[in-house]
Amino acid sequence: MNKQEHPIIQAENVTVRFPVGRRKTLTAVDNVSISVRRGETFGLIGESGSGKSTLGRAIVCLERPTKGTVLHSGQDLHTLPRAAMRRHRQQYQIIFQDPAAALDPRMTILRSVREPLDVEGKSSLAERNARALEMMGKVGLGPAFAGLYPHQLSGGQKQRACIARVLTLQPSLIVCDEAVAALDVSIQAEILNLLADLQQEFGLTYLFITHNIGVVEHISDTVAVMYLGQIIEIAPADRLAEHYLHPYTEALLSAEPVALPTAMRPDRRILLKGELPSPMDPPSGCRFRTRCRHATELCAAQAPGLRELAPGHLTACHHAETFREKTAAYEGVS
Amino acid sequence: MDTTTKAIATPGRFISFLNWLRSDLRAALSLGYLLLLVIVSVAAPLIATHSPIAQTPDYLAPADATYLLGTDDLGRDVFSRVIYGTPMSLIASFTAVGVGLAIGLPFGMMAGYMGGWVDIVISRVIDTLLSFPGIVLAVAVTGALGIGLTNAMIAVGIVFAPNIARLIRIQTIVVKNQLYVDAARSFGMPVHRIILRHVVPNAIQPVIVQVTVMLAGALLAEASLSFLGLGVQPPWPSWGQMLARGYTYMEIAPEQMYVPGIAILLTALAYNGLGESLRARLDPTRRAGR
Repeated sequence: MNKQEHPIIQAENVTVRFPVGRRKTLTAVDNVSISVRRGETFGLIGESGSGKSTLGRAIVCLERPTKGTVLHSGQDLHTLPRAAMRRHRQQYQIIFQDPAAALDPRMTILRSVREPLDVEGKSSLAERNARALEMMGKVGLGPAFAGLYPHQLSGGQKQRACIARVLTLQPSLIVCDEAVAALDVSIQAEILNLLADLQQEFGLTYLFITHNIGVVEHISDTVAVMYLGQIIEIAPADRLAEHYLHPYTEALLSAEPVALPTAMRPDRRILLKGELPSPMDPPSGCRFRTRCRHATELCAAQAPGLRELAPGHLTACHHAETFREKTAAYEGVS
Repeated sequence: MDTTTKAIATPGRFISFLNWLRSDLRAALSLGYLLLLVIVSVAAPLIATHSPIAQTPDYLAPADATYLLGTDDLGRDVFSRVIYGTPMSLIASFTAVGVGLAIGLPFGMMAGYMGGWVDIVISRVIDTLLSFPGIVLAVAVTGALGIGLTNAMIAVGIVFAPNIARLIRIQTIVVKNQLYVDAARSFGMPVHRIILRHVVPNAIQPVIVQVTVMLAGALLAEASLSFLGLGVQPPWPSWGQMLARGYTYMEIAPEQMYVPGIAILLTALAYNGLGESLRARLDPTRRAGR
């Protein structure tokens, strides 16, 4: 099999369930299929509890799908022998939301950054140290940081150390699980620029998980929107802002803060009613219907599947073609 | 505990070890006192003025130039008995805790890391052992193994093991769910290396403290078992046994209890002090930033 023929990640009907108490399960990810092409940045948005992090963890084999498969360049790592799987998974790395928790508090930064190379065990200690220091340099951490412990670093510096750590393996894909959410806004931009530079330099593929639709629009090639464990819309990033085809995406986009005085803001903010329903007991039919102002009886009766309405643009809404006219009508009335 | 002291004292870190002792008076005193006990243990025949088991007619004699600390109820020199009792007490406490660690650590870690039915089985066994009163369990185990100091201390170790296992189990569960363990897994690190590199160093802290408390507890347990005749066999002395024997004459010669009692107390304090200092020393977040 030629590696290039396959998407770098192909998740097929992935379902991840967690046991919660006796005989109850929580379906964090429900029958999700995505495909990430080599070299692209794939954005995954959704609110807290939508299952986006679980999907990210399943993609780097930290969670095992209850159903479905995750193919890495056409191969299901869970079917490999353990040693082979450990070797292969080094190509698929993850950067976590909380850099403080992702570094062992008892290890110096150098030792943490070197860790993947220690696992690999291919080179001498001096070579590994040199390589770790080189990667620290790439992310803007000088040799002075080598002997420090995580608690002596700021959040941004810790996240840089985490990035340097995954880079030592020269992975082909990095899952950024809310990688900038825990940082100050100014640092966020710095880290995002760093990630973009590194993508150019190393030819990385990113799966960018975030709840910040503004971040995703700017850096992604493709965007998928998740709601309650399901993907409800996938579109090329440049199409999504204007040509969205799902009421939930509409609500997300309208909730994005606009840097304008109140009087000048377009008055189209849509407030979602109620809370995210419990993933232990999701609503029938369309999962979004309990909070959707366009919901009809059809939505309660039948779950909408993903339909491709434009090239590369899929949505799971019965009223995808018509709801935007109704939105306009609502706004006319109010 | 001695392995961690060694780790700090390896060449290259020797200077920082000295600096640590200089900056931490409690650690220096505790370590100094324990070192003194080791020297006394090794050099007991040179230090002791009398045979520890030779009986004389001068029973319950007060302290004087011949009998530095007086004599006991069989006319044996208390000073010499305390000196000869030192190695017994040290060996007793380390054997007990060593056995406790050797059993408790692997099982506790296994239960915590593997979870599932392994955890259920090990936890039930721990609960069962904990439901026995310690001394009864120790007596039963000593009875089964045969009488003698080593067996008595193995018994105490078996009593300690479930406490250690329970402690390390919880710590292991906490650590194994940390993100840095997930990160290590995603680098393809095999489970045994994850345990050695991340779980042990991060989970062991409370165990170090617990070990120092247990070392002190083992000294006292040795006293109890010797009191019941299950520990050091007469005529050879141990501190616990001397304390137990002195207790019989508490009303006519209370000073019989002072020396072994104070020796036990100081040793227990030294263990605790060293443990507390070690824990602070091994935690990088509590060290002064540079």
